[in-house]
This record gives sequence, C-alpha cells and structure tokens, in this order.
Amino acid sequence: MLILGEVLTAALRHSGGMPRDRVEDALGLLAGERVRTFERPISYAVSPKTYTGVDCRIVARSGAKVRGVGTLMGRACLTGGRVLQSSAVTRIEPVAGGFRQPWSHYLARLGMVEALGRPDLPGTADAHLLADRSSSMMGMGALCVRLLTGIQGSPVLDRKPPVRARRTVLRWAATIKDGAEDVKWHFAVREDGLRTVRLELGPAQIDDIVNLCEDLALHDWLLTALMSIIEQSQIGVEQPAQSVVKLRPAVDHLLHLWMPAARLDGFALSVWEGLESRPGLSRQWDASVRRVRDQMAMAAALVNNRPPERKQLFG
Amino acid sequence: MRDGTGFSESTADTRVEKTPLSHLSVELGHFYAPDLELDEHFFIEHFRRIGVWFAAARSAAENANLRAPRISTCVLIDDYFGLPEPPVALIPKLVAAARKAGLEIDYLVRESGCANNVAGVARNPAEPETGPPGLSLAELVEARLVEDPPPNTTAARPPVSHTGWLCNGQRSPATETHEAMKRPTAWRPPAENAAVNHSIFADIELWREEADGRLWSCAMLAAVWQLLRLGLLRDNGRSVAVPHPPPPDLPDNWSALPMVLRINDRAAPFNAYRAMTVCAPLFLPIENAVRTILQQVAVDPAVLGQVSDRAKGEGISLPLEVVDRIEYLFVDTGPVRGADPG
Amino acid sequence: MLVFAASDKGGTGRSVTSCNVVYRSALSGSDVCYLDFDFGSPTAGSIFQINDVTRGVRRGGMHSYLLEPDIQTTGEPHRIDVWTQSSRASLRQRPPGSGKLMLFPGDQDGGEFGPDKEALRRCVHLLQALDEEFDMCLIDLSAGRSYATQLVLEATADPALRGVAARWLVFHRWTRQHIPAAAGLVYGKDGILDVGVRAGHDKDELQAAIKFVRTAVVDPDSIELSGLRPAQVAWLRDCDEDLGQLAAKHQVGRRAMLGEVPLDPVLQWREQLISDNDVVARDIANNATVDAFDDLARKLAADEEWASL
Repeated sequence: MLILGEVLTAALRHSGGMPRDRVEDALGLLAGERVRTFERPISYAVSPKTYTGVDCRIVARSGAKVRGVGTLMGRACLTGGRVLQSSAVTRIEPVAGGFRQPWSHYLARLGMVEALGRPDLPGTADAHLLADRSSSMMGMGALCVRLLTGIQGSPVLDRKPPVRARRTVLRWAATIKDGAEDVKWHFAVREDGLRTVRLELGPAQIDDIVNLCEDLALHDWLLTALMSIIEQSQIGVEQPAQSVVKLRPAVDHLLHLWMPAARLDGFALSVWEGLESRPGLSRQWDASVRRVRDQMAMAAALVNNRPPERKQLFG
Repeated sequence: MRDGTGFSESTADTRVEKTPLSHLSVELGHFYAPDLELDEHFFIEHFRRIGVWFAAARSAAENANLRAPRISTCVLIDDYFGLPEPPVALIPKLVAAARKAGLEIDYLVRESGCANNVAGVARNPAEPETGPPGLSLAELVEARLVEDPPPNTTAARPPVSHTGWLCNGQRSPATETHEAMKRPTAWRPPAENAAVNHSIFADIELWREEADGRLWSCAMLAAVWQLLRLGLLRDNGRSVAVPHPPPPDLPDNWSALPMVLRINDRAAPFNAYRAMTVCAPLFLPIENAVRTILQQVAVDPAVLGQVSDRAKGEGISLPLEVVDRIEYLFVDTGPVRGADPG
Repeated sequence: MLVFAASDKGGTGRSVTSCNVVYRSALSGSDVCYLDFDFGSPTAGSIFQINDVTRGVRRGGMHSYLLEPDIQTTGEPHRIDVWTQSSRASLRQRPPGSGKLMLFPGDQDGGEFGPDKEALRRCVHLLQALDEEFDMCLIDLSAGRSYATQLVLEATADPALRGVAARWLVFHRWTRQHIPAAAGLVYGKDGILDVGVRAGHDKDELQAAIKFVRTAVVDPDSIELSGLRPAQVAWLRDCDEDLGQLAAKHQVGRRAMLGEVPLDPVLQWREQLISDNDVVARDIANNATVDAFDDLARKLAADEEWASL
C-alpha cells in the first residue's frame, strides 16, 4: 500500500499568543466538526479533516500514467500557538478495470484515490518525492496552500507574523508492507525549501504517519527559520548589540518550541531516534540555540562593562 | 486512554454520540401547504393508498431474516415554504386520518427544522427557541459537500462552491473570454462525470440569497431530511434533532415545536439503517436532485463506521454508500398538488 | 509591507526605478520581492538581467498564477532568486547581511484581462503568502487605468489583508504632460482613489498611502550641467519653477512627493540595475542616482513619511 502526503509549514500571521476559542475559530475548517486541542506537553490544535475530489493523472517516475479518482484528505494544525501547518494526504489503491464509479463510491472511501489500471507504485512514490517545488502530485501542494492561506486570512489573526520566513514543503511517501518488522526511512533536505521523507514500514495507522511527518516538517522548519535568523544577524560582523536585535524574534517566538516527538509513539519514535543520531537535528538546534544565547550574554556583558557615561546635568 | 492509566485532555475528544436505530424508516408523506389545507378525506385516501406499500415494505423486512423488524413511520410537514394551519388543528387531523387508514404516524417532522438552527431544542424542549444560535442542519450538510470532480481535476482546482449550485459534471463553459485580444472560446456541451456513453447532466440549486437571508431549496432540505433519518448527522459530535414528545397542549405556532415530534410513545427509533420514501411520481425530479446532492456529501467516517459496526453486530448488511440506503416507491397516492409553483 | 508601483503613462521609468529600489532595500538587509504585474509587457526579467525570462516566463508566471489555477499544482507561482540567477556577475555575489531578492516574473504571452472573482481571491492569497515571507513586496503595475491596478485595489480591501501596510508610488516624469497625467490617475474620475473607494477603501487613508515619485528630473545646479551657459541654466530654472507650480496645482506637489530620481543616461538607455560597481569602479552612472534609490528605499519603509496628516 502506498500513502502520499505533503506538509506545508509557516509562521502563524499573529504577533502573540491566542486563547483556545480563537484557535478553534481559525482552525474550524468544517462547520459542525470539532477542533481538537491539547495543552501538554506543548500546545497543539488540529483541525477537522476535510476532503477534496480529484480525477487526474498519477504519473510514475518512468513517465507512465494511470488515471486516479478519489479524494485527498486535508487538515491543518497549530503548534505552540506559532507554527501553522497544513497537510494533504491520500492512499493510492490500485483497482482493476478502467471505469470511473459514481462519485458516492469514492465518498464512501474517503482519503483514498483509486488508480484505474496498473499503477507503478514505487515509481509513483519516486515521482512524488523527486519532483521539484514547481510541480506537485495531484495538486497536493495547491491544496496545502489553500488550507494554510485560508487560515492565515482568518479575521481572528492580527496579520503580524513574528518572524518572516518562507513556507517549507515536506513531501512524503510511505510504503506499507505487511511483513515489514522495522521501519526504514530516508529524510532529504533539498533546495528551494523542499524536504522529502521516504518511509517503509509494517501496518500502521495513516494518522500516525501524518503526525510523524508533520512533526518532522515542524522541527525542520524551526531549524531552518533559526538558521536564517542567525545568518542575517551577522554574528561577528555586526556589533553584538545589533546582532541581538535581529536575534530577538528567535528568542521570543521560536526557542521554546523545540520538542521532537512530543506526541508520538511506536514507529514514529524510532524514526526520530534515528534522525537524532544522523543528521542529529537536535544537536544542530542545541548548538544554534547556544550561539544565540552566547550573543545575548555577550551583548549584556558589553553593556554592563561600558564605562559609565557622564551624568547629564539636565534631563 | 487505551490502557486505563495515562493522560488525556477532554478538549482532544473525537467521540461521536450514538443514536438509537430502527431497521427501516418509512416516510408516509411529505405534505406541502396546499395539500395540508384539504379535509380529512384527502388524508384518509392518501394513507390508505400508502398503507398497501407500507405492508409490502414490512414483509420485505421480515423476509430479510429479521424476526422482529424495528420499523418507524414519519411524515414531513412543510412549514418552510408555506404556512400550514396551526399544529393544534393539523396534527390531530393527520393522526386520526392515518389511524382510519390503518397506519400509525410515529414521528411528525417540521421541514423548517432542516433550515433553521436547532441548537436550542435539545436544551429545553418546552422552549425550543431559547438556545444559542447554532448551525442549521442544512449548513452542516453544506459543509460536508465534496464536489464530484470532472476528469482532469487535481486538488489545485479551486472549489466552485459559493454559487448555490451543485452539478454532477461539467457545465457548458462561458463563451466570453475576459482576456484582452484573445479569441473567444467556442460553445461546448455540458457533460456528466460518470456518463455511460451519453450524459444526463443535472445542475441543482441548493440555495438562493434573498432580501431576508438565504432561502434553501426544497431539494437541499430533502437531502438533509434523508441524512437525518439515516442517523448520519452530528453537530460537533452531538446528535441533532432528537425526537421529543409533543407538549400536552399543542401550540398555535409551528416554530414553538421541536423539530422531530414523537407522536407514538411505543414507536421504534426515528433513525434507521435504511430509509424508504413512498410518494407520488410527481416528486421524482426532486428526489433525483436529492440523490445528486447525496452523491456528493461526505458523511463523517466516524459516524459511518459507528453505524456500520452496529449493523454488522445485528447481522444486517448495509450498503457502503449512503445514497444506496435510501429506497423509493413512486406510486399513485391520490390527487396531490405538491409544492407551490415558485 | 506591500508597495504598489503605478504610472499613468509608459516610459516613466517606473519599472527600472522600482527594481533599483527593491535592489537597494535588499542590500540594506531587507527581504524583498518584485512582482511583475505589468501584464501587457512583463519585462522585469531584463532589468534584473535574468537571461531566460527577459520577456517573462513560458508558464507559471504571475499571469497564469492568477488566471489558470487549475494547472498550478503547487499553488505557488514561479520565483527567481535574483542573487543566483542573474547573468550579471556583480549581482550574483550576494553581499553578507543582505536580504532575499526575489523576482516573480510575468508570463510571456500574457495580456490584460478583466479580473474575475477567482483571480481576485488568488491575488489576495498571493499577497498574503508573500507578506509572510518578505519585509517588502513591490508590485509593478501596468501603466494607466489598468486591470492590474483595479485588481490590487480590490485585493488590498479584502479583510484577509487588513493590517498589512500597503503603500503606493505613482511615477511620473517631470514634464508638463506627465504631471497632470499622474494627478489624473490618482485623483481623476475612475482613478486610483475612485476605484479604491468603490472597492471598500477609506478615501483619506488610501490617499495618505499614495506618494508621487518624479523621474528623469533635471537639476539645473548639478555638476553634470556645469558646462551650460548661464542663460541655459536660467531657462532650466524657470522651467523647473513652472513645473513646481503646475505640480502644486494638481496636488502633486512636494507634500505628496516621496522622492525624485535624476535624469541618468545609464538608466534611460540601459534600463537595468545600477550597481555600486557602475558608480564607483566603472564611473558610468551617477552617485546621485544611487543616492535617490537609497533615499526612496529608506522613505518607503519609514512610517513617519506616511503618517496621515
């Protein structure tokens, strides 16, 4: 079985924290469905699932095409009141015969796209993962953009993003093999703010895979945003006091959000454990955070050690 | 938590309420204002003709290996497009007429309940209009529409909702181009998405904005009505339009009543695995529109799963697709006039 | 911050000035982008010297992003990183501490179009997404009373963009014809203010967000003109004074002006970015021109320049 997904990650366009009912307003993508919220160990809210119909080509890496008909699941989540993500997910299910069923058939199997004919599933996964940012399988990227942008335009937000950063795209493909015992994974950072995750595992809940991939995308985004803030702060070129001004949004809004696998268990934990040993995301994060803190400390020390200015007589 | 010990947060709940379910819900009539003015003889004749088919439905259920089938009956009163005579006069008239024809009306339902918010009803049945303004059932269903995509549609296609129309294919494109100095496009016919050789294209009006707000179409409200009978609607996981007994003194005003009235104390549950509608062929176009809508409603998988698990537990086979759980008998029910023109 | 660059006539130097202002802002450390909304003739690619897209991209540009959502599977328009894609060597070295410099090109065969609801929605989404990422987004609009101008006026009135600073630069040459024309574009019938109010903007707020930029201005006192005879200088001064009075009469006077760009042959003939290299090492462009761009970039971002009176 093949499951394809895409995650779009951005900073919420809001300057401060938000009470729960506002978060529920913003993430309420579907009337009559609850936004689920969690406070421990980090605040997290997830929208209800929405569905979008498709009837389009599913292209394999070799260029072979089959027709796919069905629905994509879309949802959005907000972590720490700061980082907003939207996801598009679907399962590709090969079916015999080349005819499209009445639409009610597909709505009885939500979140699945039936591939009419004989799809090349590994080739489809490759096509999804190896495409560049300018094209997206079945329009998953456009769905993510639509969900995320809709929330970013919500009237409960003040439209003041705490940090300016490009949205990152994480595309993932999970192959489920009944006999598989351990999970194989490959995480790739590509240019243009694009990341890919390839997973191969035994039977698992799709929701758990989505949670894992969103968590990876979240932490990759945090790291990317922090690195870019550090780069623009020109540590060692600018005066520490000036660098600190540019580093401040990171301290105010990002540093407390790092909490890998906060709500994950099972196979997802083992993927994180692997990621921590190589490439070692937390190691890089910790080093960057130390660098930021050192700058803050040095700036403070320089201010304190400055010879006292002569007291002004007036004023 | 799965294993007794652990941590949970109530705001993270995803459970959906269960509602009691009959095997079959049979609709004995959908009455519009012009017909509701007629005298008792009209209704006796109507229920007498329906009674034959109701008996057939009952024996069909018994033949399907159900020893004691739970079957409930209902009638739908249009108090949305028209203004029928007050409940205090109409309800006894209908109940008596049905009894004279050998039928029992178990539930009487107000159609405007599909269009107006019903959040208040569950709180205090005596004063149904006191609740906070919530969503109407029609809005709950509208939110769950997932449009049937024409061939070559990726998720990049923006949703074409917000027009109040829903179709089963591709409309004939507009022939005017809006780009400067580009050739206008030629006319093309509309096409049904799931056409077999030739298209039967249907374009259904769901609602229209009027001066005093949105006016839902008859087809949309009937689609809501069918989903309600099948027990497939929830509002934030809670059941909606729960049946209530009528108040001891029937009011003059329909809006003072709960949406679903349980007329018969011993009635089987209002919601059912399957719904059957017995009506005049005059209503066929509306029911075709209802089916076109229901083909594009994505019912909450949690609710669907709950209902199908229970069916399985009772040894009942249930079609996976919601629209296939609705059956129709188009028969001569007497000289009905149906909805007002316009 | 969103900045809209408009002009009543072509040939005002709107695009080339805008590109240079965006470039100067990036050099000073802001993350900036340039959107080519000159649908009839998208040429920003040539100003930034992006070889493949001198007349716009083949697909995925602004035009198709707005009009053909169905084929845009990513929901994102094509973007070009000027720092890495420019064919000009001096641009390709992104100086340390500088910000992003991104071009969103137009489409090669785009044309003017009447905005429909979907294009408007897409435009709102685009501006919203870019405001997440960039400190300043400059949107270069087709000249005159264009659909592009109408589209962005409607987009910025959308609730989803409320709270996002939107500023307007109206470019005009410092001549007898261009001054009333620029005034007409802003204050005239079906001008920016008229259309803006119809789209839901507050007239005073919108007017406070519109500033004029004079281009190809001849400064009689500049060293470049030091070779002129006294009579010529006097004549130039008279003309300049006349134009000043004309501008004041048309509400295009000093109070409504954000800055002015001197007449510079490099700008007129080459229509490209003027790098520090052009001024210092090659000595072909004027220092005053670069100063004017810097001044515009600084004032664009300075809230006090835009405080309503």
